[in-house]
Order: sequence, then structure tokens, then C-alpha cells
Amino acid sequence: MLPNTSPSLTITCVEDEQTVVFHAVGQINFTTSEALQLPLLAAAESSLKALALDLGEVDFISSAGLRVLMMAATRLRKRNERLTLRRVQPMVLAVLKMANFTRFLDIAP
Amino acid sequence: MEADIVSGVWQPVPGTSTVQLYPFLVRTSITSSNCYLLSAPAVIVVIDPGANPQQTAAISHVVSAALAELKRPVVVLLTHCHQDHSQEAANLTLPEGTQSVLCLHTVGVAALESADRELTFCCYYPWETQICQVSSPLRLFSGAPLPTIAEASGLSLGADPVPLPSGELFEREWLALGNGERLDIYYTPGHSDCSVTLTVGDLVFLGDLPFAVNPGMCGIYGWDHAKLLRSIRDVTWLLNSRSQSVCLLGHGWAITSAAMLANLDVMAATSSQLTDVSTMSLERIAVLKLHLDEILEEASYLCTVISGQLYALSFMLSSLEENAASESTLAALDAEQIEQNLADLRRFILDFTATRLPDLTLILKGVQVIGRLLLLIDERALTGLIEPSLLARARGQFEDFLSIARGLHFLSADAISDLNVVVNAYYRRLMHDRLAEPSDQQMEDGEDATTFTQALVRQLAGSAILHEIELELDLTSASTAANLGGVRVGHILESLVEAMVAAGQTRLQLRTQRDHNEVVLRLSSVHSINHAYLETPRLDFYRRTIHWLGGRLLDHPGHWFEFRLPACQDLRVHG
Repeated sequence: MLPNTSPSLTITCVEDEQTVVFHAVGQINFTTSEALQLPLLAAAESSLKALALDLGEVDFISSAGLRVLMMAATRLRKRNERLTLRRVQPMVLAVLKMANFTRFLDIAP
Repeated sequence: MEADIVSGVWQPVPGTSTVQLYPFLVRTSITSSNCYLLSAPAVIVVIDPGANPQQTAAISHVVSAALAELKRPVVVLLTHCHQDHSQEAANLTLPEGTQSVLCLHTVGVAALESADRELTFCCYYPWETQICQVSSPLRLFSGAPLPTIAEASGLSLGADPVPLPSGELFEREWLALGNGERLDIYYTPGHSDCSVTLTVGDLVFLGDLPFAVNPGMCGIYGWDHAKLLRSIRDVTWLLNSRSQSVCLLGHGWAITSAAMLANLDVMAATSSQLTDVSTMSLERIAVLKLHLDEILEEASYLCTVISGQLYALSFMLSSLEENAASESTLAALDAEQIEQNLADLRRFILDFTATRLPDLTLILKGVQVIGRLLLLIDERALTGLIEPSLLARARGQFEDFLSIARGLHFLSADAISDLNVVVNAYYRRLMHDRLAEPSDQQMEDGEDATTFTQALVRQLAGSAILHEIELELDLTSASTAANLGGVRVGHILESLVEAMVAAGQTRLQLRTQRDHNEVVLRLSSVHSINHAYLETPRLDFYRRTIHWLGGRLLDHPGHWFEFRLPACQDLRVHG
């Protein structure tokens, strides 16, 4: 049967002078994506700082998660910024690449 | 189309003057069926009491109230002997002195009398089942005289087979209901060997015949392909020979005869392909359970990539201020609905272990969700937006799951082809067809805004990372004819290449060779990585598919994959 999967997603935020960094832990899927969507889009619209999302502890992203990333990227585009994803796990990175998201998101170590 | 039948109330049976119907339409499950009561001047008929003691109490209450108004014998009539229809047949609580007789096809009587766990469907339940105890039953289609109790009750039963246009006879018996009304009983095996179809007035009770070709129901014990084909034909004739009827089913809502006839057409077309169906044994259900986990991961991946590519395309089009094209791209797929279905299935699987439901329920849930995904991924709407090969792969794998749930096999003569030819075709498509994207000149030549936008979409669509591949071919000159399962090996090869490229391996090699009686295809990367290319369930999904083709899929995580398939001597002989 399926491996034990936690449906939860925890989002925390750290901010320095130049960048707002969101740190996600868990899975970004249909039931959890709103937990990411609300703060990420708010920051993309209201902050003037660069925006980064740390996915180092995210082992699964579904289309709902991709949709949130696209929405954030769309808002950042209005101020000529790009969303940066940090520490992306290999299987998540594979999905991002196959879905062509690496064409408009920056991938950082 | 649903018919106008109300659950839980007495209502006149259309086409009769004195018969009333009281349906118990319950939530669809394989553990208990709908039940229908008929109240007629000479008898009360309880059709399929089901397997829920609470429902039995309700049935007993309604029947007792009807008997209080007019004392009559009660016939408990089963459309077939499966436990979800029959368990409670002997458990009705009726007023003292009520004459009651159980009535079903003689084959079903034998199954109940011998407590046959397979033919009664009980083997699929994970609990100890109490099979209905049979006492002086009325054996339909046996030619036997009425049992004493039935005779004493004044029941009247007869036989009058119906000649069909083909010259064959459609076996029919009838039960007198009083005032010249009668309940006709037709022998319609296939779903089980004891299945019957009933008619009274404008109502037709089909039992579980309408579900007999569904994935998960094919191949259950007692299922018979040849008999099912004939029953579908005969019931089609029956419905066509009557005025507009209402069809009442063993599970689910009533539907019109027009809708049922359309359904029977689909069933006939489907069942014609079901000539070699495996029995739905517990071993097969166990394999299907594992396969369901795997297909869920594969479906989740494919749907995420397809949805993601549309999001990315929409984003890029809006960046170029092609806002109408951007919006129509998003509208081409209901990604939210797809993900909701996948989440629903994932939750069902996770919660399932805490339930005591039969494993077959899990398979039927998987069949339902995968069937919905097939409808939601509309290839016509996605043409030009998503690579056809990606859509074909999703469709092929979803259809395969449904076929496997039906008990069909991958091994067929037309599944054999030349591996070198398949690899060459893939190589050409990967390395050259991408050049079919519109050139800059073609973009400039776009005569109008629409043409330009279409060319733009073509340029932006597709998997960009596959354009980075450097692929070397090393094909053997020996024969590489093998059972490739039609397009299945090609689809798996595409998935593995994608996984390697997505992991950053762009320099790949494809090598074919003959190794004794095996045809070998090795996909390797020039460099290696230190983790697996694929999650375990997806790799297991591919391994299982290749296993079903009689071969093996080996891998050295982070290095290579190797297909080993039994060689075929000559395509003409085998193909």
C-alpha cells in the first residue's frame, strides 16, 4: 500500500533586508496548497523585496501546488521579479522541469 | 437518464391496474443491494431483500402493514444468489401464519444449499458470512413441481418460453399476481449463472446484469462470457419489444429503457472483446490492489505534468500579452477536478485499511476514478497544447488499468513488433520532430493574429527539457522481434528517458541486443547520479507492466534501465 504520507503542510517565513523566504515542510497538494497560497501571494503583491520559497523539505508537489507557483510568478512579473525556489528535492525538481516551470522560475541551491 | 421512481413509498406500477411498487433504493455498494416490493391482489413479492439487517426490519414493517390490509402469501424472489441480494432472504419478520416462499433460479438454489462461497460472492467479503438458509424453495427454470408450501398458498407459476427472431427460445416463467396480472421471469445469465430479469407492467427488474462488463465485475465467480453476450442480446430484444419501460437495477437509480438500451449497446460492444477474461480470484484482487497504488502515483505524475505544462504555457502567453490564448489554455483542462479525483482516491486508499470493506471495493473505486480521469483529459481540447505522446501515454496507462481490472491480458498476437523499429521511431521523434516547431520565418509569415498566436503556442508548448537530449543509438543487426505490448514498451521507454533528463542526465544511450532468447534494450546515461530516477511505485508500475508482457525491467539506480523481453522468431508467424 501507499507509504505513510502526511497530508499536512507547514509554512514559516523568514525575512531579511532584501528577501522574504518562505519555508515549506510537507506536501503541496490539493488539500494543503491554500496554506502556501495565502501568504505567498500576499507577499508577492505587497512586499517590495525578492521572494524565495525553500522546498528542501517538500517531497511532493501536485498541480494545485504548481498553480500557486504560477500565480506567485504572475504577481512578481508585474514588478519584473522572478520567484526563486531553493533546495528543491530531486523528484519535485523533475516535475518542475517536465512541466516547463524552470523556464520562468529560478532554481537555487 | 434517470426514471421517475421514488424510494420509500408505495406507487402504482405503470401498465397495471392493481399492482403497487415500494422501492428501497440504497447507497450503491457491493455489500447490499436495492430491494423492491410488489403488492398485488394475490401475492406480495419481495425482490432482492439485500444484506442489511436494518433494511430487513424496514421491509418487514412495510410488508406487515400491507398484509394487515389484505392477507396474502409472500414470495421472496432473488434476481440472483449473490450475498448482497440474498443474505436477508430468510430473515424477514412477518405476521404469524404468513405463507412465505423463497424463489430463485434452480442454479442459485443449489449454490445457496451448498453454501458455495464463490458462487454466492461471499468469498469477496473479509468477514464470516451467513449464507441464506434455504427451506423448500421454489426452483425457477427447473421444471420441478411447486413445493407444497407454495401450492398450499395458492401460488400459480407457469412456463412459456418466448420465440426470438433468431428462432431460439428465450426461457420465461411467470408468477400469477391476481386479477390477470403476472410477473414474468426471464433467464438472463452471464453476471451469474442464476441471474433472471423480471417484468411487470412497464417495469423491468434487471438485477446486476447492467454491471456485468464493468471493470472489477468481469470474471467474478459464475461470470460467463458466452451467456452474457446472449443475455445482452435477449434483454435488448425484450426492451425493444415493449413500450417505453422503466428499468430498475440491483444497485443505483432507476433509468429509462431508452437509456438502458444505449447502455446495452455499449455493453455488447465491450463484451465482444472479453473473450479471455481471468477469474477475479482473491490473488488477482491482491495484485490489483498493489497496481492501484502504482497507477495512482503514475496518474498523479502524468496529470501534474499535463496540468503544469498548461499553467506554464498560459503564464508564458500572458507574458507576451496573448491574454485570450492564455485564458483558453487554462480552460482546456479542468485540473482542479482531476486533482480532486486523485485526492479522493488517495484518501480512500489511506482510509481503507481502517474499514472492513471488501478489497474489491477498493478496486471498484480505482476503476471509477481512473474512468473519470479518462473523461476529464479531453485530447481534442488539448491538441496543440500538450504533446500527443504524453496524452497517449496517459490514456494508454489508464485504459490498461481498466482492462486489467476486467481481467484482460496484455499478451496478444498484434502486440508483437520489432524493438529496433520502435526505438528508431522514438529517436526520430525525439531528435527530429521537435524541429517541426514553427521556424522564425513561419512565425513572421503568420498572416493574421490567429495564425501567429497558434504558431506561438506551438513554439512554447511541449517539454522544453527534452530538447536538451543528446541520444546515441547502438542497435543490433540481429532480429529484435518481441512482444512489446503494442505501444506499452515505447511508453515506458519515454517515461524513463524523461526521468533521466529531468534528473539532469542529457547524454543518453539506447542499445539493443539479442541475449539468447531475450531481446534486450538498455537505456543508460553517460554520467551517473547518486539517487534513483523514479519513485518506487512508478518504477514498480513499469516493472509490473513488463512482467505482464513476459519480460523484466531491471535497473541500476542512477545509472541505467534494461528491458529484457522474450524474443519472437518471426514477426509474421507470431504477428
